[in-house]
Amino acid sequence: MDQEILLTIQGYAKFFIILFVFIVFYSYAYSIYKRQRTGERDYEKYSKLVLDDSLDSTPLEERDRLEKKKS
Amino acid sequence: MQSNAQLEYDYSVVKAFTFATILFGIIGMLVGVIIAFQLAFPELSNLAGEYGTFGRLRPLHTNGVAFGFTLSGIFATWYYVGQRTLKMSLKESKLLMTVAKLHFGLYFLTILLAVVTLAMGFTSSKEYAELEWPLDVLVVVWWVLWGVAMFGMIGMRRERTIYVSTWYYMSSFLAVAMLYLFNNMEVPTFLWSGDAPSSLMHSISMYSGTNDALVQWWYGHNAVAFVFTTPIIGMIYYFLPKESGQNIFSYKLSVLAFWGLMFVYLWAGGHHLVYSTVPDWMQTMGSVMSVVLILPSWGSAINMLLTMKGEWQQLQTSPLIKFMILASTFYMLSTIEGPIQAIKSVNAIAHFTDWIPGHVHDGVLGWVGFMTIASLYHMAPRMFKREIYSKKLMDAQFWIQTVAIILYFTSMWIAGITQGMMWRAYDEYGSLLYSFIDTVTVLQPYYTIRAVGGLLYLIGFFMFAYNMYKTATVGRVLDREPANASPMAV
Repeated sequence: MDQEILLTIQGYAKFFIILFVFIVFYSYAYSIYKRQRTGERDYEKYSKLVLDDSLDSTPLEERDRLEKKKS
Repeated sequence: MQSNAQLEYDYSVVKAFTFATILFGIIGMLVGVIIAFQLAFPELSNLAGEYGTFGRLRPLHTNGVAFGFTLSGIFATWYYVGQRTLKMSLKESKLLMTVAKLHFGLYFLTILLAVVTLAMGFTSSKEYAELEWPLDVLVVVWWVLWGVAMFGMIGMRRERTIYVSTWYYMSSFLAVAMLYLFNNMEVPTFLWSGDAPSSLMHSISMYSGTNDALVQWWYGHNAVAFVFTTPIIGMIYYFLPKESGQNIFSYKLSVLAFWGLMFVYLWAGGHHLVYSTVPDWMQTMGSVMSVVLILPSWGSAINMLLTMKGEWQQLQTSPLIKFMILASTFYMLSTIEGPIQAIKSVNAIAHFTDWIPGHVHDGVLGWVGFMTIASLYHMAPRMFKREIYSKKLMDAQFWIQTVAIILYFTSMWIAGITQGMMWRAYDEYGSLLYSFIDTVTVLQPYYTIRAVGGLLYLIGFFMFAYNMYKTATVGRVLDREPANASPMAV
């Protein structure tokens, strides 16, 4: 394979990789805004992880309980 | 996991790293001021023989502030923010506590050895990766220890969701691990030197020529990304909302900006090699990705500014909020300036000129320095259980350092653009109009202004060190932990 073909493949590969990541990224963006709007998940409540961060306060989403539910 | 009724967060490692931040900040910035004065007054280079030359001191400055001051600040804040947002205490695990203390011990030893070996002239001659191979091995060991502590803490968390700041710290850990290992692939020469004399410390890179340049700037630019940017964003996402008592303007935007930054940053390093012998497509990609980088960078910065919506009066009352808001503003400034410099036609003027250190310093002094200082101030009343010693001193420090940064970057903008234009000027026959020394003569006043700016910043840093010391020793004892705004004596 000569140099020029290699460079052409490189160029196309790069374009399609970027296109792929672009689609994944904007789909993710759309999905989180949609989940917020439909009430499936409230992302904004996670700000509380900072404002209420003392060790004896109740966790926002209990981890242990979740694991128990699964099992 | 034991009951958390009597438990409290452990700040012993946080305190140790806070001390290191201040110590290495003083060393790194002091050396920076010395070399800035050397550039303005070259006779100062001859004061301490080989140990006082610009070539010896410059790596000491860059390593001191990047891997001494900034990294200590990152580690100090990680062990603080990590415990608090994951709702776990280091006291709950003897293993993690030991790992964290070992992390600090080895880190501190490495940076001290870095100061000594760089002063002695041991260098691998790769910018921002000057440390020789024995120190590189040490760096890898404590970096892995940090990872063990970090993921161990995450594994022990009570909170299901990992707060966005931790994502930024994790990205820093993972990316630097990869970058550092690949860029520092080197062979100690004594292994193959046979009978020829060779220093035990000396090594050569496994890459050569253009490959070396590519790997070096993939590393170099991403060291900016994952030491000077992502962990500092992690800091501001915790400390600004906490200090101001405000919810983040948009948590969704913080997550999106994170992934945007992750994808784009790793491709931007090529802008350091524009008009060099690396493939043209790579230079173009470096430029384009640098411009795209404005979006996720401003996403975070605007998110921080909008967090203050309706609470802007805090800017008048709290010098700590001033530090953080100005840090965010400087982040916006340097993340618009960088992409402009990466545009090929602008780069033709900017490359190799003083505009580049000007750009770097409005980022590191304004964004990294201010955010690190503000974070340490915020942590002080919580970890020492004492009121901050002096609000007036903090306010004075803020204004002195702000003036310092403005003097620094404006002088370097003017110097850099003047330099770039003079290098390119030619007459009607195509001959260059100026020799190199002509530019040096013109730039000398700006170098003096820059040195004065650096000195003012260092004075401000000494005020910070004094305020922290007094807080830890004689600040009024607090009976309970402050919820939001840090208490400070007038």
